[in-house]
Amino acid sequence: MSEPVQLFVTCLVNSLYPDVGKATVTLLEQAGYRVEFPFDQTCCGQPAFNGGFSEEATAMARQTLDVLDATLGPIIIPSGSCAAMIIQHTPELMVGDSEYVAKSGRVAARTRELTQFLVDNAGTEIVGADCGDCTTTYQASCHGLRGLGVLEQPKRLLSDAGVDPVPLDGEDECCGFGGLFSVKMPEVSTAMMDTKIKAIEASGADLVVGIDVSCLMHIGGGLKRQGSHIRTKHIAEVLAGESTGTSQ
Amino acid sequence: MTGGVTVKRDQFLGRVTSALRGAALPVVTGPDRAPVISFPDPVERFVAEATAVDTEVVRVPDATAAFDAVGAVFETNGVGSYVAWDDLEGVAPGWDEWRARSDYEQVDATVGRDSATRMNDQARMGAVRIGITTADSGIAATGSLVLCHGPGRPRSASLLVQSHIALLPVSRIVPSLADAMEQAHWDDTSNIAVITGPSRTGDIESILTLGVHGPRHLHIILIG
Amino acid sequence: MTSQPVTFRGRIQGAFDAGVPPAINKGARGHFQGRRNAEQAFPEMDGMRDRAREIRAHTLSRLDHHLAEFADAVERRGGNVFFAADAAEANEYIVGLARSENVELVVKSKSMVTEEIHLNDAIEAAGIEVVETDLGEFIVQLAGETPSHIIAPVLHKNRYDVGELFSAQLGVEYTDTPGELNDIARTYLRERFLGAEMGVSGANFGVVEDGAICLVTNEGNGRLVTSAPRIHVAVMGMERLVPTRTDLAVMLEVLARSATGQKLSVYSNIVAGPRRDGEPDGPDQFHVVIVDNGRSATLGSAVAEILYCIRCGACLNACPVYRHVGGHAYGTVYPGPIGKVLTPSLFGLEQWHELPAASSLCGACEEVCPVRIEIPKLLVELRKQSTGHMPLGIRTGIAWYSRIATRPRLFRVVTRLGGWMGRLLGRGGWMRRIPWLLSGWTDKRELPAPAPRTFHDWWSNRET
Repeated sequence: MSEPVQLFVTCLVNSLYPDVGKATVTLLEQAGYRVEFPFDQTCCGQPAFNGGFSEEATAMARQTLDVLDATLGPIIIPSGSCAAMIIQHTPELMVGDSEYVAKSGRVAARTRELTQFLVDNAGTEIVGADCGDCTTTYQASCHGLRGLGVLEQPKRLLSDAGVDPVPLDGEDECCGFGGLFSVKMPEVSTAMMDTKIKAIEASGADLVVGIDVSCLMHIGGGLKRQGSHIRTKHIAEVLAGESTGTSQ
Repeated sequence: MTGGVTVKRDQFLGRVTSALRGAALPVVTGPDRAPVISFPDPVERFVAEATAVDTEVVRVPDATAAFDAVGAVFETNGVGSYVAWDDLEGVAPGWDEWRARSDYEQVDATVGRDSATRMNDQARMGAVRIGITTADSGIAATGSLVLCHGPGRPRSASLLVQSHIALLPVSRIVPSLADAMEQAHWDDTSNIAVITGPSRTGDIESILTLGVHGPRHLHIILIG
Repeated sequence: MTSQPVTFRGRIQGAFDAGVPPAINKGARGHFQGRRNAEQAFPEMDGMRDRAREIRAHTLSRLDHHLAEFADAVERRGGNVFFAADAAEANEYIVGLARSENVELVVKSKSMVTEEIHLNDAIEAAGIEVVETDLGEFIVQLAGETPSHIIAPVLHKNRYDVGELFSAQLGVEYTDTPGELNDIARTYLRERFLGAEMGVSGANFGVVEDGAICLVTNEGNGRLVTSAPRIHVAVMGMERLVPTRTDLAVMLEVLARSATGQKLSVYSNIVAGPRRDGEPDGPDQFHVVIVDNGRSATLGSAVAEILYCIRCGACLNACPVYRHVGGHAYGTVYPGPIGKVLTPSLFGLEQWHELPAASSLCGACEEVCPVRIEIPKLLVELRKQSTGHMPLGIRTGIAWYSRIATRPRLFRVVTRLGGWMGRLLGRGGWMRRIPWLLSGWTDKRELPAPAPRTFHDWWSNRET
């Protein structure tokens, strides 16, 4: 019997981008894992945490810990941002509550961002990519990049899949999403987005790949409004190839 | 110290003490020493680093050659007066003799203490174009000079002039700033200047310009 | 303290309407790249930063002792120390000194803390002339503006602006060649240096064991201000101490690399008292004014770590928000990521609550900080203290979302309902206009509609 992994899809994937979740399942199964989906999972609490709503964030983070700590095996998340929340910030939130400090430590130790897991832990061979003749570029998401050190893993997976990403000027510069920031400070958020879109256009890519649907939603929403032909796609969908449906 | 000032000091420090009781400072367990910097050939490194920051470096075998190099700077500048430190003979034996023989005039760098004399002296020093100093050390990692000012060692020689010439025996080159700071004569000086290249600014459109307030040219004559 | 309009968003809009000068973005990126190159060329950088952080932590944890020891050491060297609880006390001391010494002209080198306490205004109000001597600050002063960057005050101006300013204000012939502009400033300012009775500087660091201050400049104006006039006054924020000479070396190793990518700034000028007997030149009086002005309150707060800051400006250069809005939008002397924490903690979160909110928490600031200040964490901390200023809709939304997300069955029902709504609202999967709370999103972006079926529902079907 193959090793189980626990899938935490994130609230955005659950409601807005379920195809990313499906693609993640495909990839993990291709890599030889038995995917389990802890059914009572909801939201890791990050939007509230970043906004300074620590009470609400703590409540959601505890709910997440309760669900995940009751399972076994690696916890895989198709998001650098939510993985960083669980690995780095949830333990900070639990300080003062020894039971949950212990839980958060155990859960954090098991948690991996998807591409990090595929490259660092599983050594996955990628079968192919669903891209047609597209030119891809990779936009690094800040929390995955700075919090977890995810940069080379997704690029390597894309190269292995035959869709070597073209260089993106300022790939490590924030796209301007930032959760509540994007609605509380829309002027700055979209100014940053415009810079990012210009860089994407200059790269010559027609597909922007990332590890976080949140950033891609922001960039993609801007591209769509500007009438651009450039699309955005989560890396799981690109790597899972034809074997799942695709979004957008 | 007046009573009022003492009270202020005590109140001030008292506020800091009570703030520290509630301070949420992070627990930091860093290294208790800095990384040690060293080079296989510190002199070579010094020359490379100094040159990289627009210092004009020449290396000469002995004092006589050093005087020729000093003379060349005078020729280029076409001036006759200069300000100099008193300890040049110590790093370049024969200096006093060379100085006496040369046509150049050493200006007395003393700035008076009363207001009027002071202004006069400052203006006088402001007109001098060349300054000649030794240096307490040279820093290989950065191509810097360390100058401890004091009696017979005016600040103006490396500050008000257009061209600053420093005579530096290679034996005074140390690997790092930390080494230089440890060696500096802190107890016998009111001012230590660590100088890394000629005065520069990038304030206007980040375009590099030399000599904005301090010397435009820094010449280091390495002896040995 | 405040420039108009009074809100951060208002100032940003103003800046965008006027057009944020491209020089800001270009300059910030240039310094950022310089820093990166310097880091790559210096294998010891990581260890040096660790050590620098440790020094700052150690110093602040015993700041009261260090301050007392520093003051004693300055006095032993013949200097005077004044402890100023706030801006008013600091200004009063300096202006009082200038008056009693019959000072008519003060020359200054660039200093954040003197901008913070508005020293120039106080000196001028006393009828005494004050001249900024850092080239950038001099330009800013001539233009009647405020600096837009910690270490590059005129990042917002180009050389044509400066050329016009000089010809209008100094009566010289117009030129836009940086070298010639430089010569004009040199000649003008040299006269001021040599004619001034008092020089005022900041202090990058105070060295406790030696009672010395260290002042870092590239132009040399710091050395002139502390050497030429009869009286030197150094104004220092109370947190800027390092215990030893060796510690000073560590801080200098990381400061210039972080600021501009230089290995060292051109002049690291260590001032240890007035000139001694037998010294040919230097000031006859040396005063250190140690300023609290909100720092002790910050030290006692949850964001005390911000006092580790050594004002290198690296976080500004790395910050995508700063690159887009420029320094003036922040409304105070401290712009950029560091300002978003420092300004509210020194001057009041109530007035400055927008600043911590103005961040995507991307972490670029923490990545470059030479003393590794966890700026995003501190921003979240300040957000915690100011959730009351969040729009009611967001507050209510978060509260409801949290209630739903802690009840898994309810969460599944609500998200399923969302899918149904998505089918009604989303044309082609996207929504163009959302009123109220999310209107800020849809002004310039489409928003994806919820998918018809949630992942939860897909998974349930898959299992059966």
